[in-house]
Amino acid sequence: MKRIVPHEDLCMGCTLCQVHCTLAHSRTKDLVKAYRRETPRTLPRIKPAIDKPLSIGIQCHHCSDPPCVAACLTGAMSLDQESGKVVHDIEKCIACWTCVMVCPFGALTVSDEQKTPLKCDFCPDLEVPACVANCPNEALTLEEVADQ
Amino acid sequence: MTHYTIIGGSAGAVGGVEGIRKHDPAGTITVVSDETALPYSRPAIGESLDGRVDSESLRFGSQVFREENSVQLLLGRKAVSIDLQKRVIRLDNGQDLSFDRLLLATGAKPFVPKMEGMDRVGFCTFMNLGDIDEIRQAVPLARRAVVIGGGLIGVEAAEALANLGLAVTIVELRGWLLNLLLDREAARIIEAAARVRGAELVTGQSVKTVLGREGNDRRIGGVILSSGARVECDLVISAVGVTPRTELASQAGLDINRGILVDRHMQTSVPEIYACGDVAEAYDLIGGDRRTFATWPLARIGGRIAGENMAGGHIEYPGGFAMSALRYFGVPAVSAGLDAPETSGDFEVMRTQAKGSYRKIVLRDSRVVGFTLVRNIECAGLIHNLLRTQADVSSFKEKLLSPDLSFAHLPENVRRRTIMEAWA
Repeated sequence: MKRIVPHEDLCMGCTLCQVHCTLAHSRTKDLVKAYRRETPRTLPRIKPAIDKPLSIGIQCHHCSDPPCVAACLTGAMSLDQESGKVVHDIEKCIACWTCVMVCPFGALTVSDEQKTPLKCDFCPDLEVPACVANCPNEALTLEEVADQ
Repeated sequence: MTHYTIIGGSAGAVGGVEGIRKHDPAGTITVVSDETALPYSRPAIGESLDGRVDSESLRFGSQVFREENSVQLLLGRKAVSIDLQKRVIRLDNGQDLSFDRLLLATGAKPFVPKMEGMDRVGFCTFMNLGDIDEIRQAVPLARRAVVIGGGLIGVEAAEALANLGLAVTIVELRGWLLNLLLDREAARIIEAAARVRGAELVTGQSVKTVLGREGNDRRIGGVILSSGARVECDLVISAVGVTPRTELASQAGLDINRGILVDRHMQTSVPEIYACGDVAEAYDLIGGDRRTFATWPLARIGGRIAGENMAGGHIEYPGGFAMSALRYFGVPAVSAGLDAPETSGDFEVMRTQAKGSYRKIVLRDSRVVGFTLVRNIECAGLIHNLLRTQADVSSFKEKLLSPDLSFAHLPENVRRRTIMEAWA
């Protein structure tokens, strides 16, 4: 399946992936409004993991056997068999943070603004996810990765 | 065609069906549950009581019990005995169910200490939807509640009742809240939040007597603590602990310690009979021996392993350890593995504390064997992964206390293995 592949040797930690992720998930799709005028504020679902000089864009990797799905207390996290994506149903989510506890990437966003954790949804309305499309250094690429 | 039977209709059963169907799309699966409700998320019953979650969202495993999986759900039926020779289960209505492979996922039941007056109306446990119905009926007439036990279930109950506007007192025998999961420092943060939300905490005490109400002795009017102090209340929730439901296994003659003993394949002492979840005493990753863990995620994971092996697979249970993510009174916290073994010299404890947040990591032989995070929990999964894989952290252990700990702080071999595993 198509996966977002991070290239740590190419990432310069510019955080543009975060900006474009926020924009893509905002209600207004307007950069200024998304950051200044939307309440609750839209939050990014990707984070630059930085331990200088190393940086990597980290988001949900839509694991083939996701620990968050196995551990989820309510079934809010599920693996869509057809698309292979990990889907988060916020109606079922009780924000127990169990997914946060078991994600080996530390990929979920926890915030005071949002009641539930946030994760990458692969930008369902876009052909190429916003983070990949806007990474200036091609440190995030969309690639077909064969399941083993 | 193989006939699989699962006793218990909760997380273990969901995992069991998932595991069986991975290898065997055709065999018949019967799930027997003594609860009348469709399978639901037990850890969310508190949210169901105070209305944060509706009954539809409370359902659990509907994907697994969907029609294509053709699982026969026998609800409201209790298995009363198992004949291992004939491979037959006797149900409480006299019906016999035959099986080829059996999974015991009967879970745990509340352990309720004996106390005077516990038969009065308004004395409840907090384990299943039946309990929630009972409490829901009592709530409109109640103003004050006493929760006996400050563990996971007690705090869950206390929070839900506080949300419903009741004045709640938690009575905890040991020194602090959630003491099986958190050390004193971590617990203090949650205790402070609980007080802000109107829950009182009495430590070092137990409830000796449940008193009747003036004018109606059948109903609860208060409790007397071990100190002799009296606490007025209309409702008492007993949440002291749980005990594995091993009666069926014991009657059938399976090997039992505290729980049903299972091997790394989740098989009991009798071939083709498996157990998982709160009732199973399975491999303990950190202790190396076998232990019971009343943990929802482990029940589903153990169920999957059992299910796969029942259907011809050969996979090993990676081993369990205590793990709880907590959301109580608005304070996110995570605790896993060993908590506070500071008394022994074999352990190295690293900790860092800032206002309202806390991080503690317990190491043994340069491996993470336990950790606690309060408030700043986003990196919890990174540490959990090091614990789960028992990775040698000696070359980077100081980084684990970094306030902005991220995937980038892990060494290259760990990063690479984690990605390979995720995409495998």
